[in-house]
Amino acid sequence: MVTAFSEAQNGLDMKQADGSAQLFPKDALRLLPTAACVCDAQGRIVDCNDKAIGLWGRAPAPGDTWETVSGDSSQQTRNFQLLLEAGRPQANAALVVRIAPEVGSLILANSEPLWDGDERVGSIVTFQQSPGSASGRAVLWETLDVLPAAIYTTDAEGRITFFNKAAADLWGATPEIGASLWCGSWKLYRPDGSLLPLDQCPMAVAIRERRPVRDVEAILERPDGSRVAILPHPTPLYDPSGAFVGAINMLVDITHQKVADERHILFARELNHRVKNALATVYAIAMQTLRYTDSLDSFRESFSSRLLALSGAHDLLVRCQWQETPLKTIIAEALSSFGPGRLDVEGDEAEFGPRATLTLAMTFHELVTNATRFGALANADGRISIRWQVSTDSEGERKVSLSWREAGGPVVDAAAQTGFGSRLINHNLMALGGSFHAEFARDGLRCEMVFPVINEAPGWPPAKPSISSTVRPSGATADPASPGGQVL
Amino acid sequence: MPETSILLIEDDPAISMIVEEMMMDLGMGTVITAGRLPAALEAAANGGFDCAIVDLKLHGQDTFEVARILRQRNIPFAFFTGYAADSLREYASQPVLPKPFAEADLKGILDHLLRPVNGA
Repeated sequence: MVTAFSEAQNGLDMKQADGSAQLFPKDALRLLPTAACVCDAQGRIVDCNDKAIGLWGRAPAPGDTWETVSGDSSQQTRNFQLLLEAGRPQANAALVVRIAPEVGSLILANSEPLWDGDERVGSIVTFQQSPGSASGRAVLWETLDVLPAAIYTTDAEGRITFFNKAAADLWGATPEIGASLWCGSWKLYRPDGSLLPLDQCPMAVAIRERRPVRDVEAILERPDGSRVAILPHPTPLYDPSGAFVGAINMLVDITHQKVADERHILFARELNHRVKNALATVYAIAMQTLRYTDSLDSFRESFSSRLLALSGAHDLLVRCQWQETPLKTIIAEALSSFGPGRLDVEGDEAEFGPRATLTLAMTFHELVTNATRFGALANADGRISIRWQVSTDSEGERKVSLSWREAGGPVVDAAAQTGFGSRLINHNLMALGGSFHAEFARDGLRCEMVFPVINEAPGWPPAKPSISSTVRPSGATADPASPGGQVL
Repeated sequence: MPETSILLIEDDPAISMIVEEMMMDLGMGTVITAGRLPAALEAAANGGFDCAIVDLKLHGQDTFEVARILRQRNIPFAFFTGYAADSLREYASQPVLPKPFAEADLKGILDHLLRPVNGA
């Protein structure tokens, strides 16, 4: 088979056949002590010696390149082939040649361009199976290529000498081995958003100043415009004699961590806001209760009971993860001290956002307090029936129509019940954009409430404010049929 | 002081109730209250008040659109919020009634909003 390959009729040696200059003397190729092949200016193999065929395990076919005969698809082989086509000399490139997908030999390859006067006509590649440090490097590079960490190396001048697949994926680009400088990133930015020139990137600093650079974050932009937050780890490399030979860098993608950090900041900020809101509510309840109680004892009783109701309502919000709370749950919480035998609670499904949940919880707390003091819960056998339906009004808004019926309590004294509690309930319903009507029938209190289903569900942490998506233009809002601002 | 009217935009009824009463104590003529965004936008567009106190969020929704209408109509207003001032975006220069607040804060803000240069 060796003979067949070296004959002119196999098509690989056309230049010699038609009398033009032979790229490399055939006899010299045979006599070389190492495996060798000759490539044309496009990187196609045009001749080789027996030792090369022995290493490849087969003779090259017309059109074969280094890349195809090596049987190896790693980035290193690809890079070697690209430089071959570009006509660059390469020294001691550690590569893998595979005679089967799982059987590879580690080799050291050297290439030199061949010239015909000023014209580059091809290259000669010599290679040998390489024990020792070079094969160690090839094993290392092969291993690095399958690791998910983005890793690359440069020479002492900052030219990229190796990068693995993860690095190419992170960059979204393929740098030119032996030519690209400092980093394979398309663009880099500092954390403050300003452009970071590549020659000032951490790898460039590490090479210039011969020191590892740590804890300097950067933002990498790919050619497609997408951005990744990275933490580079550039580290100088020295040979056994102590001479500086280049640097290795690992780029850690910290995008997830940055997103988590931003969420944490939003979280803390939102928590602070909610605490302040809750304190403002407590202050308002205290001031209001103070205005409508005539003794310290009654203040203490009313205030502590409202504060406990507010606290219970916050527990509901936590249980529902500050999303939506079912109306049935809100009512059940307000009536949790009373057994089911005295209650009849039934209605359609309706869920409310955190703010509306708090308002409804405080409203039902007032009704329960009233029933406990004067109404159906003031004796041992009164009963309360709470029923509601959900319907959609002409504006497309879902509304709850709820009736609260007390029966079996002590005889109602209407005059005793028209105090602050009913004013507060009325105000709560107005704030929700609803209405409240109470009537003191002979057998007990009857209330009718109508209020919209408000399920804002802002999420946690809250979505970034987006005016355009939540608010209609001002001109579109003046709808005379919708409930307007309430004049008190 | 001539009878003044105030728009109060606040979704917590406990707070709007006490603020209304405090405003009445301070001699304000009318307090218009809105607790939801559509009602707040409509009230802001309708006018008929001298100044406004605007909660930054109503049921989780920003009220910047209300602020935009008020600014366009040249009506003095203050935000009413427990959020830090850097949440106010282009309205960072607006006065803020912080949450929680004291009665004196409310009076100070109303005096500021209704000072003669912008008054009736």
